[in-house]
Amino acid sequence: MKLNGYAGKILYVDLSTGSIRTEALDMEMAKQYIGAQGINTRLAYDILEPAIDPLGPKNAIIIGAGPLSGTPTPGATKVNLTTKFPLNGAIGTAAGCGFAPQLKWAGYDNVVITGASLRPVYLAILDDDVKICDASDLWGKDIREATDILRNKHGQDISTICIGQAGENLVKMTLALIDTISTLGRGGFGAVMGAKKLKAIIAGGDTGFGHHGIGISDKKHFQELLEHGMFRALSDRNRDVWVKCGLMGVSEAWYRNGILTYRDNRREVPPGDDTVAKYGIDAYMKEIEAIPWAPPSCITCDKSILKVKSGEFAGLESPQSLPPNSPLLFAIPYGLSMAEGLKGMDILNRHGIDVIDMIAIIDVLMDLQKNGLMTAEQMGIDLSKIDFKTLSKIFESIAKRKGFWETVGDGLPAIFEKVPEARRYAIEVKGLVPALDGRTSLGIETLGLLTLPRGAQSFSLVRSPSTVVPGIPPMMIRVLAGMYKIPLSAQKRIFRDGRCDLARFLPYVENHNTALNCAGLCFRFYFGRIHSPVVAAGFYSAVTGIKLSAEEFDRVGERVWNLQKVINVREGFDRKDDKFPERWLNEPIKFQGKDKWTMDYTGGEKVTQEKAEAMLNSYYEEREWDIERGIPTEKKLVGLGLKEAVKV
Amino acid sequence: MKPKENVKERTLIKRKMEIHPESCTGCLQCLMACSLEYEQVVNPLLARSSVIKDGGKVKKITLRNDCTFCGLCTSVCLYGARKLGRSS
Repeated sequence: MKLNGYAGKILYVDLSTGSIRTEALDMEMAKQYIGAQGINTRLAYDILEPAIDPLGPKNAIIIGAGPLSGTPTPGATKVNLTTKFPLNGAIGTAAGCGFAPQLKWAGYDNVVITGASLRPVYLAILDDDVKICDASDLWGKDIREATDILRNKHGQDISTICIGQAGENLVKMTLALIDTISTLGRGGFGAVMGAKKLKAIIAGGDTGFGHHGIGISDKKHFQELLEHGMFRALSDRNRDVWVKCGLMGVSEAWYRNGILTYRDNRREVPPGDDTVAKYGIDAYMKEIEAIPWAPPSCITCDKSILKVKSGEFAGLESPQSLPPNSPLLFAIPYGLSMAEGLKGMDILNRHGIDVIDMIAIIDVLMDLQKNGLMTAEQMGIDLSKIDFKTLSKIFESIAKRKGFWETVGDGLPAIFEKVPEARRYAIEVKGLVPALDGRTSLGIETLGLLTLPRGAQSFSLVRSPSTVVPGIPPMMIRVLAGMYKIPLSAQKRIFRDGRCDLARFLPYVENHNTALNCAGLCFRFYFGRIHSPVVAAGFYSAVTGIKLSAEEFDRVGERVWNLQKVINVREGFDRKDDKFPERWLNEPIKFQGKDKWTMDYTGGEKVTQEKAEAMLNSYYEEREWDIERGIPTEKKLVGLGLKEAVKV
Repeated sequence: MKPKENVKERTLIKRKMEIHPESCTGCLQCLMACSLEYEQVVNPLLARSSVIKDGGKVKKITLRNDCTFCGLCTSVCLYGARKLGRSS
């Protein structure tokens, strides 16, 4: 029997044979895994054979919408992508804004794409009319150009997942963009699509939206929860500034706390007040106009279509997922203007290159040149001084895989193979660069970057609330523990001797945010505050009619987290890969004129190698995993109903 | 039913709706709430209004002839793109 909230179908597409078929969604599986990341992970466990080539036809692109996607539940915007990522070989789930509602209105919960086409194609999911279409006119075009063509052909209301030239050229430091704005799949999703010769996936109906209607079981309860969510959103004191200028609204707090604000390959955080004066909201808004943009059901939009007001790039219009990228990644480290930064972002977005890895790798290469380990001649570009022209040349060389830059485009693991000394200058977890730095903020968000099975994803996708950062008193974290419904027995372990053991807190946050992802909900801070386990489980119950308690809701998150870990254990990942980056433990960062080391903030002590190991021990112990190997135990898996996963 | 074009303000049974497409972010809460209320399922095509986009940006918001100005869409719009009032 089909449940409300679900479209009830999984679409299977084999690009090698051209076969397209649908299967009814197994409602027992839906109950066990909720949907989106949960069902994706289960499908990945079944479909992805161990040790396959991420760029080969056996890798699958699994896309999932949650049961709340396509309903007015606040923040039900997220689409989940699960695949084997080529940059580091991990199997994981990435989330992006949009696409999921349109997929549900077209009549599908999940899509599984396997095989590889011989010629460029795009997949059109238009209600019952699903077809593999010729994309020879799109191949070679950037994401914005290709999306414009698709919108003009299929209607402005379709949603698109599209790759740029870098993905076509199998550059591993790539991702795809949803509706030209939201990033999806850091770590090489662009190359996975490129290897399948799949330029884009579109969802909708014959002239825009699909025709499938999503039922809601308990309309009255849903309405009450919706009102609660809207009230919480409107009463957030920062909402106005977020709506006005997107995530740029939080930039000044970041500058002051040294979050994402680095210079000289993360050796220094520029002074906060100076940075606010030069790159704060007022300075930014003088140069850039922001047009707020939201995917369906996002009631606190943080994305914007940005427009340069004057100067060399006057009139440049660029949709941006993270508006502060221009000052944070270009203006502050390299002294470029914010307009130049936006132009740089625009070039990377159009090509589908991941900016976080990109900028961090340039810093590593600059260090290699400075220390005589690489020469400008070897690289073909002199990195002794970075200006806008140099950056443009680098971006083009990476997208086109020119000379030495072919290696660079494949990310840090490829660079380490070629230049082993680069390890000394890099900060990475499982080959991906963490956007946050442990030395300026070792809150749950940063710790979560180490334990994420997929590697250090970007800032926004960390499975933890950005409310837990240094400076938050343990009492405040205790309030959060109550909101997260952490059992009292666990709270006793977490809060001891006036301090908070963040490593023991982390699993509960990971479980909850994974459950939110499974439902199709966003867990950025403003939605995280709305969707406590009680509220999120309430929305799920009201929509589907399946009564689920807050504890049961988060238990699904725990099940999915364990299963995705098992899949990666199958790929050879274990405790050795969850390690702290060496520079976080061995080198301070200059912050407000002083050397700042990685600290356990609530305990007030420096994190040494020994302490770092102890923190990981606490995490695995709280997860009831094998501490030595850092992997789920048989007992844990059986307890979560994952008996079949024990054999791994 | 064909949507009416360029609707900025309409009056009916002493109600008016001000529409500000420039404030609309495209979140579609209005259309989803409308279809749920009147068609019992969520789908923007079933709403008595449309949000018309071009190149990812909202260009126009229209109302269908069977819109009764019940105000549900205005109550779920948190961006100020729709406002309900009494007509003079």
